[in-house]
Amino acid sequence: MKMNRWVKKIALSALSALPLATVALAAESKLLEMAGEDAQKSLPLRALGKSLIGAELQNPAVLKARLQIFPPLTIKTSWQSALVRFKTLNPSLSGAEIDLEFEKTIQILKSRGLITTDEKEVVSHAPSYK
Amino acid sequence: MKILSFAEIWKTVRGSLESLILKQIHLDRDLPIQLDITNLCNLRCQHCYHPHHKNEGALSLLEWFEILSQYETLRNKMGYRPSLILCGGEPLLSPMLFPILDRAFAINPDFKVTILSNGTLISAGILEKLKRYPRIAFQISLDGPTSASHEQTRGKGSFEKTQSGVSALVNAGYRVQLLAVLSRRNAELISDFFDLAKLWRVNLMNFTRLIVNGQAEILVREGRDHPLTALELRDAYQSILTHSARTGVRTSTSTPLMHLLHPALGRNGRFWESIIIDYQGKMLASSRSRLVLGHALKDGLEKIFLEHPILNSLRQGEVEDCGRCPHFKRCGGDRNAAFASTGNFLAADPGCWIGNKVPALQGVSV
Repeated sequence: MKMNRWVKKIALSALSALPLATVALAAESKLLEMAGEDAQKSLPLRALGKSLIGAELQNPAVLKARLQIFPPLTIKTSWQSALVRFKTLNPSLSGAEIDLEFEKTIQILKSRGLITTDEKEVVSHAPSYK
Repeated sequence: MKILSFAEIWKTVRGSLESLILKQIHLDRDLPIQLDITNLCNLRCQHCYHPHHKNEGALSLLEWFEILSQYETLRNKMGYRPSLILCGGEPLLSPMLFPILDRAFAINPDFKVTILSNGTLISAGILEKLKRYPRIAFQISLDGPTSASHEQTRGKGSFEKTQSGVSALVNAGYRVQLLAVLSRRNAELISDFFDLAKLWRVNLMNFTRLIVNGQAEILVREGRDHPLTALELRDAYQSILTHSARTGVRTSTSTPLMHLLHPALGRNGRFWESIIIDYQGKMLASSRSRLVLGHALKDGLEKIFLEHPILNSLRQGEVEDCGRCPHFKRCGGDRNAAFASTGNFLAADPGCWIGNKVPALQGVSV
């Protein structure tokens, strides 16, 4: 069965190179359809959804990852130091975007109870960082 | 007895061969055709990709029938399944809506039809008329999960009317999906969108990126809204998947860039496998870009679809940066966003977090 599928892919690849617009298009479309089926088999979407829920709400490793995407705040970090780290981790952002993203990051982490802030410091409460 | 020339014999042989191969390939997917049957609209949404809502130069009913016939010839030859999308403007404002539906089902009773509407004009009379058609679904636009957030974009009083329209459709047994234009204004409300979609008992809660085109150009120029940056977009997509799974309300995972979150997601960027005809008969690369490929009646729908250089470039992956990306075939990059930011439909997607070198999401084990 696997072999048949493989042979079919080779045949479709050959057809997709033909100078016959309708056939080439249909073959390319079928190849993409088959690639999609292969990908779906590798991980059902339901499992992905569940793992993302876990990732978002439960998994300490992912909470840590979020702190890495956003700056890896240590237990106590000054605002300035946190901002510098954030800039280093996000080199593609422009000056105006940096401030906006940083503010948003702080708000997200605060709303999830991962950090608290005062006028001088950002304090991390992420389990993996304690 | 007429003697056929070599060219005529070759044409016949080639046609038969073509038909035989296409039958063997057996495409198991739709070829959607979107008809913008009117440019008139009862709302004035701040982010609308249409520059205006005048309807001058609109096609006649007979011209729409001709386009449907052209589509059916092409679809039948290629072996795609029939799929009709009726859009506008607001399609429920058009007196041609029901005659076009009648014609479509007369041409091919297997048509699957989706009506793209703002949902404010759904009435008992319309529901009654719709009863005679099979397989009709609705996509209703919703840009905020609350009255204030929705009406900030779509105007006062629109939320209640849309809610009432959705309720009527769901109660009448129609399949309904909601579509929100995702931007800085509402990205923080993704969780609430899904809660509302669950409450309203709709089938899907989908999102599409704000494209800076038409009225949206003014909105963005005046700083009242902005497309999401790559970093924001990645976070938003992750949030969409999370809250879809939390609420059990399905969402489309075929949108460009979704594939970057996981190999099982994505599919698209396949602008080359759909047909969009605007209210004047122009064939567009996509509705949000408004990029004109030709005129369906003057140039021929099949010729544009099979031969237009932009569509062929997309088929062959000739897209700046994206074309070299290993994810291209399942991601595609958002061509609308590329066109809006560069004027080139085949440019790189400005929202791509890989192309923009945003640090990879670490620690997510999927």
